[in-house]
Amino acid sequence: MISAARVRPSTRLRELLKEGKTLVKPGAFNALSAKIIEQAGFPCCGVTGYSVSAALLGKPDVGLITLNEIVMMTRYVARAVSIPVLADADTGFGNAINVMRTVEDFIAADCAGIHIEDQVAPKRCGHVAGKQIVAMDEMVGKIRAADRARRDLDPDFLLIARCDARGVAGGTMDELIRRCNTYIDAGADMIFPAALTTEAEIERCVRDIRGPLTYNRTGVSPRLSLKQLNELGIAMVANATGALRSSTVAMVDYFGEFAKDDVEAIKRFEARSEDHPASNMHAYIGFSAIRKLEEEFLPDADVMAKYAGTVGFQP
Amino acid sequence: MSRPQSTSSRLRALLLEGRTLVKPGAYNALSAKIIEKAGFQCCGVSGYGVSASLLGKPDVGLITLDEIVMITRYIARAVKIPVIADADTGFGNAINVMRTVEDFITAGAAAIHIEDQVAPKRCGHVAGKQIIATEEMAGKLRAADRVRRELDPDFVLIARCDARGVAGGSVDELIRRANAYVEAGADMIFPEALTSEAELERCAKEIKAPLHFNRTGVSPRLPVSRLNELGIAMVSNATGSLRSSTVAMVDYFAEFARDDVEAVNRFEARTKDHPAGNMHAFIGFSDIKKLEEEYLPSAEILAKYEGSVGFQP
Repeated sequence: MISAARVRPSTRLRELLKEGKTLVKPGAFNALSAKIIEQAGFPCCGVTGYSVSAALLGKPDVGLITLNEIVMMTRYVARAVSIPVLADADTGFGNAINVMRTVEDFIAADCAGIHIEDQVAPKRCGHVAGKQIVAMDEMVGKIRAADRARRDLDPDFLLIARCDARGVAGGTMDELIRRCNTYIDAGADMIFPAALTTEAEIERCVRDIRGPLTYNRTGVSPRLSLKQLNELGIAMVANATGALRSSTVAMVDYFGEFAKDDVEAIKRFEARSEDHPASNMHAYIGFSAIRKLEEEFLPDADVMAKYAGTVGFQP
Repeated sequence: MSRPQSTSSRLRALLLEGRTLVKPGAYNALSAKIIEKAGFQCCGVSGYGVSASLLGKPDVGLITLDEIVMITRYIARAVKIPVIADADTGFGNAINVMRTVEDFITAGAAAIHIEDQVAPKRCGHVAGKQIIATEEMAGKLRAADRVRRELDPDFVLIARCDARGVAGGSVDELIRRANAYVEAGADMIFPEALTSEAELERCAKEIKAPLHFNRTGVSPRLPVSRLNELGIAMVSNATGSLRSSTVAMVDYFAEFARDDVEAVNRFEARTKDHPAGNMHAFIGFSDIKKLEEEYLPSAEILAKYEGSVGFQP
């Protein structure tokens, strides 16, 4: 029996957005962090360029990661979770023509939407000084090209135009707003005004930009509560690097202790996390689900021979 | 011009110092960099860690050769310390193993371990393991030995033996196999899932090669001082990076889901003086700025940074 086609992630994302509350979008950098985000109850997750660059390459977010790398990580993340995944497409990885290929790749990776920014390539994190932006016309061309590609392949695919005009040398709110409205006219569904520095700036964007907004509550931008963002009518809020920051701090501490105290540090860690949901990593990561599948699909004798009398965690 | 010493030669030099090398396992470039900064002299690429982090799946032989080689390459590029990778069962028969060894050598690994489990394999500390015939494993090792002799003679070949933990497994069988593996060309033996100090002592006495010990799961948590006395060449802490980061992310997102931005504010306050509290500085934006100053036109640097908002590298 062939069942009805499954609902695309992009369609599910649009349904979530229709609910009219600010969607919280924590950023993942691999399948595991995405699964943790999903299990914590978040309705969607991002794939952040900053974190993929830091985690996969060990390098800062200055446009070193390739289209292939971010698409690959997006694919792993999208396969591992059921919530819609939004990806960071940086500058689109080239000109408007390259952007068409970029959109195709992200759609094929089962992504629900991307944001493309108007920075000069190689780009950099929106909250680090040294950004530059391309001419507005050039960015408009990229958005129009992206719009064409998604209409062909996945009309619900969400196209978010990120505008970095506020944070560049000589950047102003006037320029940001002028650009954002032009990006909406070019086909963007949503605007991501990067690196706003005050609540007043956000309020002005809400008032003057003719499209829904995504907001990044980090770096130089004010840490508004979800309640405030809801009142302002913000469509989506990113917590791009929480997964990266929390795991980095934890690993630095773990290996600092381990280097100092050898196996005693491990015992302390094991004791400390004894009642933690992830303390038994075998159980947490899903060995038992595999055992159930083996019972369903492997010959009975194989399963018996494998498990009876073997040493270790019994899934 | 001097030629840099190869990573496998550096690993052999470290092993010749005669003390137990501690080998924490990494699962991406970042975790490997943290391990290196903490002062460890080598690091592993853990199949368990890569399967869990990259795929979000348990270590039951789902990751491919390409995936583990790719992560090994990223790690080997990100750190200077020698990298020892987990080659699982070698990804096929003896002939496939030859390709596997080539791939790991070109990825910049200093060593791999190959195990005698039936494919698809699983974590050595989880029940349900099975092993192949000694002769088949010896063939894989002979094939691996041939390739590394051609491409990188110092490349360290570690044979992992899972015979202790399988149904009907014994330390006797493990020792018999381990010695056959040494004769086939393995430089080091990794007797997996030993369950007591006495078993490890017996391995140290009866196996005719240096040993690699994995201090996790069902195996005793012996201190490095004791491992040194026993003459253990290498001890792994395969999943510490994965476990510590998983626990931290679970806690972070539970708090964040409950308390919204207040949880983020608390985290930022708590880590203000932490070495990784400023992620921008920790991950190296300032190094990039220095390189830009060296290689980009000065007018471009000036235009980029003057008056631009954000963290100033």
